[in-house]
Amino acid sequence: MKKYLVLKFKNAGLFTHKTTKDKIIDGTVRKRREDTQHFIEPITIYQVSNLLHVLFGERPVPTFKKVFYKPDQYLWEKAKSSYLKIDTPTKTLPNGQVVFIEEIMSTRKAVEDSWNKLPLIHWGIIRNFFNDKKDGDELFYEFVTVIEKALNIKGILELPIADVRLKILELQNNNAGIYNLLLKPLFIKLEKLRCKMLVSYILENKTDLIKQPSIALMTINGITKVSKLSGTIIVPITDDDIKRLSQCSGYATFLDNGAVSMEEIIDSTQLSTEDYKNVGNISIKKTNYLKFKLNEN
Amino acid sequence: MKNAKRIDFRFTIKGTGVVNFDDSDQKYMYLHSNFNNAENTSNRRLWPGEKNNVNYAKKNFTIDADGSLNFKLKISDNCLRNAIFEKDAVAHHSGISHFDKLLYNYLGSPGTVLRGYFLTKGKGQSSINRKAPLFITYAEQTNNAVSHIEVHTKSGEKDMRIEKKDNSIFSVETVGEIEYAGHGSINLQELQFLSADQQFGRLGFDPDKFGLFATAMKRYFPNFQSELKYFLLKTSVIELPEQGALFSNDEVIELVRNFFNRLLYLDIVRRTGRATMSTLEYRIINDPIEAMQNPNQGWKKLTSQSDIDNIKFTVEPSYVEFDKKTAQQTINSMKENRKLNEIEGELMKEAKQKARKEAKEKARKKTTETPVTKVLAKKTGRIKK
Repeated sequence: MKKYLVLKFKNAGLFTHKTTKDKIIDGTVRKRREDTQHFIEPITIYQVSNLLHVLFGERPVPTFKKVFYKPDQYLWEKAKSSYLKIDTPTKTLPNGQVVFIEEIMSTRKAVEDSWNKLPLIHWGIIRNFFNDKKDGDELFYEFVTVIEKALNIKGILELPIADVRLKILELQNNNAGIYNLLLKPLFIKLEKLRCKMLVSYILENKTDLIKQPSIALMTINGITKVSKLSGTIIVPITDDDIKRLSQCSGYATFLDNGAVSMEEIIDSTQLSTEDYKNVGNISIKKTNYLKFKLNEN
Repeated sequence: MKNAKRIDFRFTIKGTGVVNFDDSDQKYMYLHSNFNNAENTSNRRLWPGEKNNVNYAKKNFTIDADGSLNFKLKISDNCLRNAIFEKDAVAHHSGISHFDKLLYNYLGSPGTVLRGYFLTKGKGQSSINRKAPLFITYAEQTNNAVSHIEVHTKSGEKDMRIEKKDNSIFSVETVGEIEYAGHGSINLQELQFLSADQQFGRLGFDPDKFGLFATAMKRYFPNFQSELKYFLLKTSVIELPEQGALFSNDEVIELVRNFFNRLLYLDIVRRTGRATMSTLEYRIINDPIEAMQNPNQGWKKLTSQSDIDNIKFTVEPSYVEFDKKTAQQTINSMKENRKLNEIEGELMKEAKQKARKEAKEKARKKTTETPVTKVLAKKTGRIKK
């Protein structure tokens, strides 16, 4: 008599992408998430096959990355003849679209996308900026002294750098003579000494200087919405498969951090595939960004 | 004798108030007519009209047999994980990838090894990642506590420039005494191995900086003596060695104890709510099929540090050492084959492009050539359109 393994999964995270400026980091390559391909269906044969690979002690095979190895054909066919049911309720949006329910979760941003967009620049940051340069202390002292001379103010370190910046811009507009005599040569010298970001901040209010490692002002947390799916997968197995499964940990994750547990082994008389889909028949059509449109059928 | 492959645990949490909030979009769940059974008014109390300034608690939704919506409050797995590893929160900053010493102090700590990580550097530099060997579910409500919406006010300036003005009244879902239950697993196969290899997509650290990593690990495991070697995954048919390091049996036990220490003393504190660990149990899985057939056998309680110190087991070794010379030869020959395949691929691509170009040119000639233009082309070497 045929045997089937009943697997239950829950808390399987699925990210539904709407138009986004987010980037994907794949090894050393960065690409826009909008340009990457995603399956229209939430779960396909690829995910079920990888789940079986891990349960049987094999290495999972990335679906979209190029790798040198292919899925185990035996496990692939097993996934093809499995059955899937998703229990997660759906909701209807105001525009009539039916989607899985979502919840908020906090995420960590990747380095390149987490630079603080509205940083507060103060004298401590300017001093740290010079610390990375050769003869940084002397350069900082020269920077402060020349600006004090040009603006005819003593103790500019007690003023906010934002105010000092505005005074420099005023000087540039109203008294070009002193600006060209004192400040312009200073800024040219700074640009030659790889301090162009500081000059850009003063003259154009660009805050790229915060990307310097010794400063690195970042917004490390973001939020996103995720659907947490739960359901059942029924997989046909043999006695040899059972022996193989007992050699492994019996543990696998599904989608994003979803738990998979082996519930029971049933035979064909106990099998009921009502409300289940055959995994091999699930569409593997792809789109550029993920939309769920669940049919009432 | 079978060795330990996995450790399962289950727990209950007791609390007051809501400690895990969700988005105000949750209101769409209560608006849909399919879910608003006329006799079932349980979800009506959670719909404050069209307002957006509502803080709902996180929930698990289900649909009853009669089609009405039902739910239970929960503490999400993310919230639990943040609370378990909150002592390491200061180090969870992507900026540390700029400083090797900071980075490897972070990578070489038990919390990081247990939790997993994904860190990227700038353009052109590899990302490093480790899949968490630890899995934990959400903690779902088990008692019959009933939540409701309370109205609050806040003080603050109103911005008259914005058309849509928020008022100073907002709503928050709240609940009294509440109990939750959850469970999880620690995969000892993943826990025991630290990968330093890119080819399976799990480069955990730069192999050239293993010294920094080992120095950091010795702060927690003074006898840490693992070396970078090549290993094969015992259960896999892919006989390609992977570079990495293995934890010893004692170190794996210490990591497991470290985790249970964090979990046993779990305490989630919010401004208006709190949740603390009530009961914790674990069992060691040597055979997952036997464990599946006997779900209630083998559980042991953890109530104090001494119970945690008594956790002992022998880990099933999932990786076999591979000879370094043979490993490097295998990897080199694989790289050469890959290069040859790439060159072959490039040549095929070029041949296809050439064939396509020629076909296009042929098709263009057919449409534009006449007997007169043919003769002219011969004489002048040009074809007139």
